[in-house]
Formats: sequence, structure tokens, C-alpha cells
Amino acid sequence: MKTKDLMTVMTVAVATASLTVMTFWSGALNAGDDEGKPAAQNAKPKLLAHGIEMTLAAADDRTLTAGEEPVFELTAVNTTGEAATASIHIAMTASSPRDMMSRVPRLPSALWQQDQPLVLQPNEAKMIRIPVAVKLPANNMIAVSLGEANATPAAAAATSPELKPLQLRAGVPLSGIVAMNFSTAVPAVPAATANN
Amino acid sequence: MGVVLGLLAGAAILTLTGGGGKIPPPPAGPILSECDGQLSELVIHYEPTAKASVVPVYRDFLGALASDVTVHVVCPSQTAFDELATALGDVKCRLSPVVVSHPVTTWSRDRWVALAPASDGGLTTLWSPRGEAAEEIWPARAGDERVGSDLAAAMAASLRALRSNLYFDGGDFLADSENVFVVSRVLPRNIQHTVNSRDELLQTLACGLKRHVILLDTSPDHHAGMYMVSVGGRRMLVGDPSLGRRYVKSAGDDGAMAEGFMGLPGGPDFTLETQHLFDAVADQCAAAGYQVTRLPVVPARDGRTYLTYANVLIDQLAGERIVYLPYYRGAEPLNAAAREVWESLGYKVRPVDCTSIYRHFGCLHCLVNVLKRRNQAGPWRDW
Repeated sequence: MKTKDLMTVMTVAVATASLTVMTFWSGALNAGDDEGKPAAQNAKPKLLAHGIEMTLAAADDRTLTAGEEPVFELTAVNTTGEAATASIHIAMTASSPRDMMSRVPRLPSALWQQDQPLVLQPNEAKMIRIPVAVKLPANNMIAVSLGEANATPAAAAATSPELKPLQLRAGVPLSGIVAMNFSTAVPAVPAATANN
Repeated sequence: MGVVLGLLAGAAILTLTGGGGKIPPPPAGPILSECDGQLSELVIHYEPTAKASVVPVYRDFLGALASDVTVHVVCPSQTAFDELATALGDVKCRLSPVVVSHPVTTWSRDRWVALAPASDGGLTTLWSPRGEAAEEIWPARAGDERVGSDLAAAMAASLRALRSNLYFDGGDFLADSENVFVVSRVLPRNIQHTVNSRDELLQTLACGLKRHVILLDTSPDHHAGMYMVSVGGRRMLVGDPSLGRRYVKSAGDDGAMAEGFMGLPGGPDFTLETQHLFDAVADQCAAAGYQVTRLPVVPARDGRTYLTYANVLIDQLAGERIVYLPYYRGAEPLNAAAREVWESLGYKVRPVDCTSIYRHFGCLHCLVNVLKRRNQAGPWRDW
């Protein structure tokens, strides 16, 4: 074999080897990574009822904080070619640790709830602003759930001014979802500032 | 010829380097059964601020363990470990510190579930949840999230940590050698957040836990071990507030009573609604083919505090079945009734004083996680 042929073979071999390693190297990444980042969480949980797809978010993409009265945006899209109606139960709950020794936070307590009727034309999309006249408590975990009004046990209790904790346990029924989760953590005041 | 040489060289490089250093992990076995085999290695947490609440429980429980049991103690400092060792006094089991550099709570059970090695001599897998509930407002809970990897780092020769894509607490599962029961609240924590459907959740759990998964549709809003325990042989013990009520005087017609009894917040909860939640668990176990035996339980009106006798640890020693059973000073008739149930099933009872801990929404089983058991039954289905 001539030197020139040998060089050609070597060049092809190096290129092929590089290509092989590049192709299969990345394929093994993240396979069973023991402390790897989990797969991305669903950005916007969706509730589907009667062909209407619904998502809930803080209005204007605000980060909700302690002390404010939240405004939500309910986006409803009729995914069918026919007019659709639904009645949606929206409930907001809060829970916090009883103390730092607790195994689990206290049962969630009701902050606010509302039934929201929806009527949509074929393939129509609607956004509804929902102001909530309740101040968010500090250092709580807040959950906002969506469910069909007639399907939620919580709805049965809607006539009473306050949901009992036991009713709230089932407040996220099998047919419903937790649409939003956020916390109202208030950063601890540094000792030096607190003393001033 | 160049292409062939290149392919061979590329294959050799991939083989020798493990394809970028990320070799797919070996498969894990199933979630450990909680009622089969002999306790071998346990994990507890010790946080000094919880000393008064946990030391009496640990003293009774660890004091009853044999010398061939190792208890790994996750604690924030060596000083904390030394404090616990001194407070416990003479115990036969071996205490081994795992010092971590962050806050932790005192509850070991919920941080991870142990998956048995897939083969003899393989690694035990600690399957941790995607995140901890309330970690943003609870610094110790944020620290808890790291405990699975802390343990794996401390015992790299025998453990590995794996983080799940799902949200759960370890206490949301109750496993025996056939099935794993999953409490109802795991569904809303995950649906439309980490999985799209109930079926996808069941499939993901079955793949991870390698057992048949039974998702409870209705259950009290608490960890499984607070109200149910499998004792093997397809028998399930399920709490029954109506049995507990027999031993609580002065309960009104609506089940309400003064807050006096055992300091339960709001008093005992014997309402029909709560009774229904416990009965629903019993019904679902029966539907799954289990014989159900009911145990007295007294839940409180806060929905979190229980006087429970299901929150136990089960051990098998030389053919003898042992239960480490909570008891509560001041509730002696209730304690005796629960003990009788366990003894009627052939268990030797080793009582553990849990008077100091139950007001914190958990009990013995919640404080202790099991890393390894000897003589766990296999084989298991490949899910």
C-alpha cells in the first residue's frame, strides 16, 4: 500500500471513529442519572371538560406574594366544532406547618371558592379575569384547584360560608386538577436589621 | 477499510469509556416489603431541637433491637450524634452517624423508599421524590430533599440514589411482597404536573416500584402507615374509629367531645364522614383480595393527629413475628385493645412509648425508614 493510500485510509478511519463516538456518546447521557434533574414539569396543567380545555394562571404572569389579592386568568378553549357549556368550580386553599417538628403541614383550609359558568361557541377561546377579594396569607403553600362544579364534593359545601377541612380533602376530586401551586414565603429578616 | 477501522476504533472508545461516563444504571429490584424479613439496616434522623420528642421513642425501639442491626443516624453534626448516643445509653444495635451539612427534619420515612438490589450483591436503590412539599417555607424540609443522596454518598459501595420524576412522600406507599398501596392524594399531586393521566401515574409507579400498584380512590388525607398495615398473607389491618370510640368516654352523639382526651386538637373525630374514609380503605383492601382486620384508632379533629396502632415496624426473627407497637400513656384501655388484636394474629408485641411524638402528626413508623431486611422473599415480576 502506498503512503498516499495509507493516509487516505487513516483519514477515513479517524473521521468514522469520531462520528461513531459523537453519535453514540450523547445517547447515553442522562440515562438513569442518579441525581439528575427530573423531566420538566407540565408548565400549565389543563382540565378538560365537555370538550373545553381550561388552564389557570396569575393575571399578567405576576408572581403572587403574601398580602396581595390575586387576580387569576382562566383560559378556556372549546376544542370541538360544536357549542359547549360547563360549570367550573375553582377553589383556593392554604396550608402551613404547625411547627417545625410536624411531620406534615396542617390540612389545607379554604381561602376562597367560586363556580364559573362557561359558554363557548365552536372552537372559540375565551380568557376570563377572576379577581379574588382575599389577601394571601404569608408563609403558606397555596393551591388552586379546578374541577367540574357538579362533580366536586366541595361544591356541595359551597353553600356553607366555610369549607370544612374534611370536605376539602376531597376538594380535588378524581375529575379535577390542582391548577396552580405556589408559596408565599416571606424571607426572614436578617438579625442586624431586625434589631434596628 | 478506513470505515471499518474507524467503526472498530469508535466502538472500542465507547466501550472503554462507558460512552461518556454515563453508563445506564443497573436495574433496581422491588420496593422492600414492610412485613417480610428481618430488620437489618435502618435509617433515623436526629435533630437536636426534637430531642424531647424523639429520644423516648428511640430509646424503647432501638433498645429492643439486636446487635446485628445497624441504625444509620442522619444528623446535622457529630455533636448531635454524640448527644443522641449519650441519651440512648446502652443499646445492642450498632449506631452509625451520617453527618450532613444542612438542616433536616426528624422524619426519615418520607424521604425515600428503598428498592431491593436486582441481584445478589447488587446496590440498594433509594428512590427519592422529585421534591418535598413545603420546602420553600420550611428550611429543614428543603434539607430533607438531599438525604437520599447524602446516604448514597456515605455508603457508595452498597447504595445509590435515584430521583423520581413524581411527587410523593415515602409514607404515601405501603408495600408487601405482592402489592404496593398508594394513598389517594398522590394522584392530585402529580396529575397534569408530572403525568398526564391516572394510567400514566400507575404505570410510572409500577415501573419504579416493581410491584402491582393499588391506588386508593378514597382514604384519609394522611400517610398510609397512619391507618393501615399489611401483615403478609394478604391480610390488612385497617384503623377503625368506631373501635377507638369504645375506649374514649364522653363522646357526644355527633362524635364530638371536649379537647381533653389525650390533648387531641379539637378532640377525637368520630364523625360519620371520617369513619367513611377509614371504611373506604377497608373496602378497597377487601376488593383487592385482602382479609381485613380492624384496629382501634382515634383520629383528632385536626385531621392530622392520630392515636394509631398501625404505625408499627414488623420484624421476623427465627420464625417469630414481632411487632414494635406504639402505646400512649393515658390511653391504657385503648393500648390494651390494640395489643390484643396484634397478639390474636400471632405477633409478639414489643411496646414502644410514643406519648411524646404523636402530637406532631406522626409516630414510630414515620420516624424510622428501613434500608435493608434479611431474607426478603423474591423473586418478583418484571414490570
